[in-house]
Formats: sequence, structure tokens, C-alpha cells
Amino acid sequence: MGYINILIRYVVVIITGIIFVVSLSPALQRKIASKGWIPNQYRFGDLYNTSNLRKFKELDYDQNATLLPSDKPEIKYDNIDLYTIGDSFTPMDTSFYAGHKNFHIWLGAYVDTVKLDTSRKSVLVIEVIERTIQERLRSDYQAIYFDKGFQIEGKLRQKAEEEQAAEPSFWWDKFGDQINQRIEFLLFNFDPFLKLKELKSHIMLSWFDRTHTGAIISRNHEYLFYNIEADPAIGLSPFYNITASSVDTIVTNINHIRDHYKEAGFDEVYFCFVPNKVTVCENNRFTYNNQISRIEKHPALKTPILSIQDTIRSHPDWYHLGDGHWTVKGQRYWLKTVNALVKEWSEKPATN
Amino acid sequence: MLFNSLHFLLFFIFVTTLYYSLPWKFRWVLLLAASAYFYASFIPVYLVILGVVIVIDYFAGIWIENSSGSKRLLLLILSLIANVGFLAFFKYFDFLNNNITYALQLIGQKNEMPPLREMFPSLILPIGLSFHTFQSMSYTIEVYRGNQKAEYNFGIYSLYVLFYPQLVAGPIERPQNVLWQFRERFEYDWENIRTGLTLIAWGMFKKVVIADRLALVTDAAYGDVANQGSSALLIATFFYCFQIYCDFSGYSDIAIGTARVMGFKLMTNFNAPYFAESISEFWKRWHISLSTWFRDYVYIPLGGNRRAKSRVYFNTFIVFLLSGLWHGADWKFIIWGCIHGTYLILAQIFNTHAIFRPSHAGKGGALLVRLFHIIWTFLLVALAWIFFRANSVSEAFEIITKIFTISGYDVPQIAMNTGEFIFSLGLLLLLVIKDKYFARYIPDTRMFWVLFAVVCLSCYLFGVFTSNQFIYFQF
Repeated sequence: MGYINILIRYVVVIITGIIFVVSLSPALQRKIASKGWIPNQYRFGDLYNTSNLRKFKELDYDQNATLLPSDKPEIKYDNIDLYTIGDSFTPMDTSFYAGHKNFHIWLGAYVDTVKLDTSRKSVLVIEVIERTIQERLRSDYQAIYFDKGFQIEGKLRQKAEEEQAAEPSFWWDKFGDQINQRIEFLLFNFDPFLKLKELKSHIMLSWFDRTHTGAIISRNHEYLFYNIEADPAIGLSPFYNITASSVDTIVTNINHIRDHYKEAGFDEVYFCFVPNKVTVCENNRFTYNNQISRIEKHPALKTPILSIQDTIRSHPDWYHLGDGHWTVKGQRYWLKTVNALVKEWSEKPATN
Repeated sequence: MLFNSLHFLLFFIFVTTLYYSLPWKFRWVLLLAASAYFYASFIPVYLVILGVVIVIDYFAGIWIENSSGSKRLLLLILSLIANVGFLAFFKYFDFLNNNITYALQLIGQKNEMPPLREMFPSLILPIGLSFHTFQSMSYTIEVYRGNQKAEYNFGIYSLYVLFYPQLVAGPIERPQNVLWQFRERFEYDWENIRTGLTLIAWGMFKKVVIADRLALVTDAAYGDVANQGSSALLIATFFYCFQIYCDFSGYSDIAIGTARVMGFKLMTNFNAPYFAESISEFWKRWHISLSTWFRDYVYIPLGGNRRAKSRVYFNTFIVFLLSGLWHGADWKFIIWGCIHGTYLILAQIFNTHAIFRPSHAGKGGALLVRLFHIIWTFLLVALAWIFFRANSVSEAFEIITKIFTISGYDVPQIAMNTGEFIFSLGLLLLLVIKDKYFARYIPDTRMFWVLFAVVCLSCYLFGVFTSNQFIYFQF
């Protein structure tokens, strides 16, 4: 009995010790996740992961989120190189774009150093989701779009190299950061635990009319939104009142970004604003600040826009049930729009 | 690392199991390392600040023990000044400076001294500073009094201050109660584990199910006083009484339980305080480790109640003034302390203990009379809590004015639907029953597993997990 007791103690120490180490290191956790030893917490959608409301569990999430090989363009345009800067709305492989060479930066994820091919036209498209407009384009736009955007080899390369050199090591990368979330991710995302989480969420919603603080349910209980989108008290919400001068500043900064990249050698810079899920699915939730339209129609805007909001707004079904992003249908529309732009540029006569 | 976090759950299981797996002579080393990790997990640099306090009092204890006469007293005073100085620097400097600025403005002068946080923007108040400073001070005082031998093992002494279960919010221990336990060989004992886990589970229930649920209402109401009706503020104040009780006593239960699982016995910190029949009794039941600290190290040295009445009143008032100040560098805490001091002085002047029951000078009497005393005491305590919870003194007065404005009463608009409100009242009833009839109940093994599973499941299903820190961490 004594030996069994000791054995159990050592087993518990070893297991909890391993969990502790893995929880402390995000890098190690990513390695384990990539091997499939722990389930992907977003496999049913990020909003489901936050809320655990069974109604919004998107069982065919992967199918709804993944582009097919048939979505790849049939024609690649040899005289155009396409550069895109986006976020979690544009995570697709560059092979889906129709440029001769296609480069993409997932904002904040990495910095890419490129050498512009002067024998081809270089077009840059910057995609911005509505809820980040104020955050990214108002005051810190240079740190975000210049320092973390494309670094042109020979001109701005040193800066990119400095950033890369400053990256922390594998073990100490964000060591100990957000440990509670990571323990939950590591231990409590297996299906049996999801059942328990769903029960809690069900009780909270049906008894107390509460959802998890990160998610807000629509009035008709058909859609789920991020808290930062749907809560009008939050400054990034489309229902938060923004001043005309704030819009002016953003337009000025957009023009400044365009100037920056044109000076670096790009032929043109386009912006494309993706509307928030809440403004597509429940636009009348509160008074909408019409931020995208106010920017796109601003008289001082010199930067060309790929306007997609009218089409997107007529398709609430292009957004996931259990996720704040658009589905593969939205992604296809984005690709169609951008690849049409590539085609248009390929047909333009050379200016020099 | 909060007690109500997965991080702590994992830490607790790992450290406790390793504790029982290690040879006895290495256990204090494990506890010291674990405690250092626990404290550093808030902000690592806190450890350096705490380390300075530990070094000062470690050497002060040894020097005091090896000295005699006036030198002994001088060393004690120096160590106390160092401790209080630390506390004053981090906690009270800006408060004092702001009040000097205000006073000088009244006479048309300017204070040239900038606020500390302006001079050192990254400076923040180390978490639980008041708790471990008081615990350190009790060590040097007890060594001076000859009640405790100086601890020569620096590691063991560090552990006395750093011991993670009670590091950031008490109970504020005495060296006689704890230091010897770090040298004790605690064998694996199921009774200790069962008792400890029972305390942890109930403490967690009080924190995440009751306190954090009630906080939804109190935070919303006290965060926007101007737009609240009388009824909403009354409900919020009523809820706050139980929120702070469940929050703090929940923390204490988890702390005591965590230590108990490893065999350590920490002092009781709460004893059903809202069943007190007088303010004096309330303070024998509420935050007992702090009340007795002030009694032993301030009230009695000032002469206690063996002096002339006027001096006794003065002593009482000083203790509660200091108690208020201990809670925070803000006039609202000072007023809160002064209110309790005033209650006690008035009770002594008018002998309110005997009102309605002249034949019973102390506790006892008919149920209705006792009930009256309990409710009356609760109302007095609740009134004082308004100052404790409000964001400022002026806001506290605004809340009191609204609560006492009968015309302001309407259908309460609180941050909770009817179902949750009724559920919350049910939780309070459960709390009252537990405190009244099962306060020290530890189930037998079979019942333990049933109750432990039910309480843990309830904590998860009905708990509010919105990263709510324990209220007393700020002190």
C-alpha cells in the first residue's frame, strides 16, 4: 500500500510538472498542438470557444473556413507582383492570388523584407477589419504599417533585421504569459470538458441571461458577436460615436501610408475595409457610426479603395455561426476582388 | 497567481504532492522556492522589495536577542521604523504629499514635492505589503518581548514571511504559532488533507459563486452612483456586506486550507462575524488576525482598558484610526476606521450592550432580543462599509443621502435579472445556515467525497470567473 501511495505521488508530481512547464512556454505548447496531441481550441469557431454556447457550435467549421484548390486563379498575371497586408480575415496562402509573385503579411505576426522587381508593377492592398480602424490607423499607424509592414531591401532592410535580431528565444518567448488561458487550452478543450462548459454556458444564459464577457448574443439569439464589436461603450465598437476630426485623422494617415509605400517603389496602394460581423448581421443594434462609409467617401481621401462593404452587408450568411470571421464565401469574394484588381493592373499600359 | 485561477490549482497540486514526496529536510527549501515563485508571479520585482524587509528583520531579531537594556529597545525601534518606513514610502507617501499640497493651497502656497508615482512612474505598491510588514513586525516585537527565540536560519525566517498560503492577504501570523511548524516533520495525514480540502472548497465557493456574483451588482452600482436609484444602492450596499465577507473569509479559508493540507495550522481569521451582537463582538469575529495584532501591539501597550475612561476611549479611537489607515491611504478608509472607533466608544459610554436586556450584561437573552442586536449591529457595520467601498468620501455621502431619501425609492435597476437576484438571496441563506450550524463542520471521509465533488462542480457551474482579484490584495 505504501509503495502504491509513493508511486501515485511521483506520477502526480511528474504529470503536473510537465503540464506546468508546457503551460509556461507558449512555444512548447505550440509544438505540442502542432503534433495534434491537444485539440485546437478554435475548431468550432473562436466565439464558440469564448462562449461555449452549444447553439453556436459550428461542427463543420473547418469545411466552412477552408479554401479549396479550385479557388486558385486559373491565370497568373506575369507583369504584376501583388503585396497584401491583412489580418485574421485574410489568412490564405499566397497561391490563391493572381499576381506573378504574391507576398502577404499577417499584421503583427512577422515582418517581411522584399526586393521590389522593377520590371513588374507592384501593387499593395491593405485589408483592415472595421473594429481595428481606430486602433491601427489613428495614432500608432507608423509603428504598425511602416515598422511591421513590408521592408524594402536596400532601403529599409536594416530596421527589419534589427527586429528579427531582437526576437526572444524559443523557451523564453512570452514565458509565463497568459498562463491561465494556456492551462485551460492544454487541459480543458477535450470534448468531455466542452460538454461541461456548454452546461455552464446554458445555465448562465437561460437562468441569468448572461453570456461570457467576451461574447455578446444578438437580440434575436441568432448571431454571436465579439464584445468589443457589440458593446457601444467600447471605443472600438462600430456603435461608439466617433468625431469628424477622428475620421479626418484616419484619412490623413491612410494617405500618409500610401505615400510611404509609393515612395518605397510601389505603383499603387489600396485599402479595403471589411465590415464587422455585428454591422452586417445586426446593424440596427445601436446607432451605427458608419465609419467605413465616412472614410471611403471622405473628400480628402487620395488613396484608392476596394469597397466591399455593400456586397458583404447583403450576405450575413458569409459570416461563421460560431466565429467572428467571414467564411470561405467571404474569403472567395475578397480573392475575387483582389484578383480582379490584379487583372485590371495587368491590362494597364506601362507608365514609364 | 490568484487562488481562484487554474495556475494556482496546478501549482497547489504540484507543490503539495512534491512536498510529501521529498525527504523532510528539503521540504522547507521547496516551500521557500514555491513561495518565491508564487509572489514573483504577480510582479517579479516585488521579491526584491520583500527581500529587503526580510533581511532587515532577520538581523534585527538576532541583534535584539543578543542585546540588553536600552540597546535592545533601540534595535526594536529601528527595525520598526524600517518596516513602517517601507510601508509609508510605498503606501502613504503620495497620500501625505497630496494632503500637504491641498493644505498649502488653502493658504495660497505651493508644494514643490511631486507625487512619488510622478517621480518614479513604474513604481507600484507591492501586493500584500501591509500584511507581510505586520507579520515581520510581530516577529521582532515577540523576540524583544522574549516570547520567541530569534531565528538563525535565514531560509526558515524568509519562509515565515514568504509562506505562500498567507503571504498576500494573511492571516497575519505570530512567530510563536508558525515558525516552529517549519521545522516540524508533518507526515502524510488524511485528516489534515480532508480538513484542508474542505476549507479550500468552501472558501472557493464563497469567492467565486457568492462574492464575485454579488460583485456584479455592487461594482455596477458603486461605479455609477450618480445614475443609481435609492433601492439599487441599498441592494448594492447590502450585497457588498456579504461580498467583502465572502471574498476575504473565502481567501482566508483557502489560505488556511492550503497550509493545512501540508500539515500547517494557521490561525482562524473569521468566525461568523454577522452573527455578532455588538460592534465589539464583531471585531472579535472579523479579520481576527489583524484585530488581535492591534490589540497585542498597539492597544495593550497604550494601556488598554486599565486606564481612566477617557484614556480607554482615546486608545480605542487610535487603534481604529490606525486600522482604517492600514487598509488604505485614503480618507475613506480612515473615516471607516473612525466610525468603528466611534461605535465602540459610544457603546462604552452608553453601555448599549445592556439596552433591552438589563438582566443580561453580555450575550444571551430571548431570541428576539438577540436578533435585534444582530440586525442592529449588522446595520451599523453596513453603514460603515459604504465608506470602505465608495470611490471617494464625497461619493459615500452621496450614497448615504440617496439611501435615506425615501422618495428616491422605485423598482430597483440592478445589474442582475430576477432569477439571478433570487439565486443570490438563496446563496446568502446558504451562507447564513453554514455559518450558524456548520461553521466548523468537517465531513467524514465518505461524506467528504460527495460534498467535495458537489462543491467543486458548483464552483465551476455557478462561479463567476471574470478575473476578480481578492479585495484585500490591494492592502
